[in-house]
Amino acid sequence: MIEQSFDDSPEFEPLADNILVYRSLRKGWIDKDRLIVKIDAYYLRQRINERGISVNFSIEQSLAAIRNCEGVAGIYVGRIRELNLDVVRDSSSHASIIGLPYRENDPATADELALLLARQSQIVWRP
Amino acid sequence: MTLAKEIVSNSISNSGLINFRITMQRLLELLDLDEEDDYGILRPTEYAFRTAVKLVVEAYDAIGEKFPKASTATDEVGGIFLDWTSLDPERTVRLFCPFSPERRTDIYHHASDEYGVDDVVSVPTLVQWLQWFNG
Repeated sequence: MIEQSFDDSPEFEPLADNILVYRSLRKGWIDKDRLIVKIDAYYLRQRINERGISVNFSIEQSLAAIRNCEGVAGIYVGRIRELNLDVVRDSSSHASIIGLPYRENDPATADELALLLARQSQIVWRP
Repeated sequence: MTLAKEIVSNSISNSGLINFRITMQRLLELLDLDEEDDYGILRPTEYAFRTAVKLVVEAYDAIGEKFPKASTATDEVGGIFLDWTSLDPERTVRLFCPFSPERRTDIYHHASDEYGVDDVVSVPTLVQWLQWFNG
């Protein structure tokens, strides 16, 4: 697992399990045969030393996060924690899913956790 | 053979070809993507594309009518992922074709009670996991 250095900011309370967080979906991240979120949506990018998966607190914030957004997925914080991962809030509009390995270092664990996150996600917005 | 049976038979025997054509079309569509987006590289590298096409074509030659349909996507550096997904029974096979030969081609499999990743050193590895996927 990746060494994490996310500190709980004193200005933000820990997120409750029943909070829904939203992930912007890039082109190719929706299985259009089944209308489900694909594994691709939950990998860390080693190239930029990414330490957490970016999520937001509203569909609108996620739509603003990337251009040409192909969709938005929603996932409950409690579902993420059931996988022994966590979600840490770092601003009023942004949080990070932490605890994932890079696929380059541990492909089996990275693939399995990404699949389990994808299966817990629901598509909540499509263009 | 009755006409109805012939139609059913032809439908079954053509399903692998249809799935192969859809999979190839989805790979080709990746070449039409913008070069980059906010997340990273979007269009696959030539190495990733050639690797994916070679494996898919040779796997289809081996499996034929039972070839399953894949979805496709690129990673942020131009590699390609092909996914074969079944929700019932729960099975996934995921082929990774890296952006360059510096990284290994591999294949992930998942069922309700097992998962793992194998290096894809030859087509038989992919064929083996697609046959496992088909059950």
